Amino acid sequence: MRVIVKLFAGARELAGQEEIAIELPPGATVGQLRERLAEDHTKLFPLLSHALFAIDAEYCDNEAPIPEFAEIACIPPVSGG
Amino acid sequence: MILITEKPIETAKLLEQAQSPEAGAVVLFLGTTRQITDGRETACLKYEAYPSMATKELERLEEEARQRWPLTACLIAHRLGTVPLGEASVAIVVASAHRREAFAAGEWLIDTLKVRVPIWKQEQWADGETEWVHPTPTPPLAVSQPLTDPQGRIHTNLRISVTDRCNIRCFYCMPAEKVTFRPREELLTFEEIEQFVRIAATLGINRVRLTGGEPLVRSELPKLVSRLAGIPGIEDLALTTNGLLLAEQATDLKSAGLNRLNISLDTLDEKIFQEISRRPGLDQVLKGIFAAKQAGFEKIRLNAIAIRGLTEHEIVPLALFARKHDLELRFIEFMPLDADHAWKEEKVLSGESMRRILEKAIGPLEPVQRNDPSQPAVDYQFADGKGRIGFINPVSEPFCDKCNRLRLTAEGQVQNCLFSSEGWDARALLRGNATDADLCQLVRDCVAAKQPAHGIGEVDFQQPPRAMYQIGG
Repeated sequence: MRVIVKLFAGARELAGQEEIAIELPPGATVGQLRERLAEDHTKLFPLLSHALFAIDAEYCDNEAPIPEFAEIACIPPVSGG
Repeated sequence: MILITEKPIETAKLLEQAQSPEAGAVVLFLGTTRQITDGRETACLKYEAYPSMATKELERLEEEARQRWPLTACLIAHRLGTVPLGEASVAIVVASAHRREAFAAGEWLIDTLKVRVPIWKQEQWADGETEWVHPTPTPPLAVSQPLTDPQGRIHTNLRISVTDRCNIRCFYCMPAEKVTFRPREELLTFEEIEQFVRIAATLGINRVRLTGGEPLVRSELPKLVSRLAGIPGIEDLALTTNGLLLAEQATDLKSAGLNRLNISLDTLDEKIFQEISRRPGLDQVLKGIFAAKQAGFEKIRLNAIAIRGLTEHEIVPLALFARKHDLELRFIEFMPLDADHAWKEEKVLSGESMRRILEKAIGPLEPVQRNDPSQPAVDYQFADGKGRIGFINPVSEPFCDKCNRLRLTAEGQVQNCLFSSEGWDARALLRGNATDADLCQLVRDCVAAKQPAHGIGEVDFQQPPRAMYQIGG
């Protein structure tokens, strides 16, 4: 399945793009997505280990399976306020 | 109310919306663009958000704050785009009947917003460089996740039994004779209780009540009070007592940092007192009540049991006494937690019927607006403004859907319901080599297993094997 990952702030700047498309096996988890991003997009590496991920705008952990057509976002450490 | 905007935040409008006759305190927090950070000059800040998720997380923060504190208003506004020096990027306005809750909620909201809401700032340094701010490491999300059970109830309230011993033998709680108490070494020490509360506070527990048995028979109780009063995050520390030892301890408890007192008083007649408690001592209780007032306790609450066939005649004298001495009075329905297992549903004297008795004898009662949804009492005030009467109706009107309480028994078992027979053994962890994280997990497991309701009145309801004094009322 094809997964589109939204990028924000420093992550977007490091990658030089707003979204990354990645091909993953069906039922892949957020942890697997994280590993693939680290391999394919080495520029993201400094932020990746501290970043969280969201599926359909909800924080999730590495074990969470990625549903097809879900909105996936990479959330680097937040700094609002 | 949540607002994400590209425009300057209109703080005056937010404040206006927060002010109301129910509020006694309105707190405003603004986060503004600072010129100098660590010696380097900022020109302005730029903010961006993941908008749909930021809105959702902000709404969640508001909801959680309203569950944790009795707020009459809660508004959060965040600005996006460029925020010039001195202008606000975030505004939080909270209103509450009293300032303590408003300050606490405001501080919690900004602290939690900063670690949870997907909004980022970019420094626009005066020298022309720009830099996204990504604080590392991100505090683990779990720290700021509240104790939420499967029904979505957020737990902020902890009742701690400090002893199963008591100096009277009220039939609705204990057997008359041959009570076996736990040996002292089985009870949690003050150090252990303090450690548990410190950890619970990191999970969002902010209100603690000490109970028993009779808490004042535990020796040197004021020492425990002062330990607990100093724990960051604990905003309210209360105690429920039968009052017999209060005259000698009230001043010490007050100066140790106890905020509030509930005193059990079922009757003003010594004969009935002895029938209920099977020991003498009404005079001593009354002395205790006056000593507590003298010591400076405000809003002292009297708790009276309501049992059909026994307490009908006590209702009016108790209400008059409370009116005269400016005390709040609460009637609590008889619950199936008596050691003698004599509870029957017919013996429950409902709040509704007591209200009718009071109105007939004294005057009309008007409902008082509640600003804390988790407070189980339904409160009324006499129409002449003198005296406040509450009814806690766990049997006839269960308030399980609003329950935010956890219990720690005297021997260190965590329970998620007064009517549950299951305990999570915190003492084993406190006395073993467990880490704080292990204890956090135990508390979370206990909350996760909470049932939707106590089930009294349902066909399969079973009175718990332990009586009230063994759990902590």
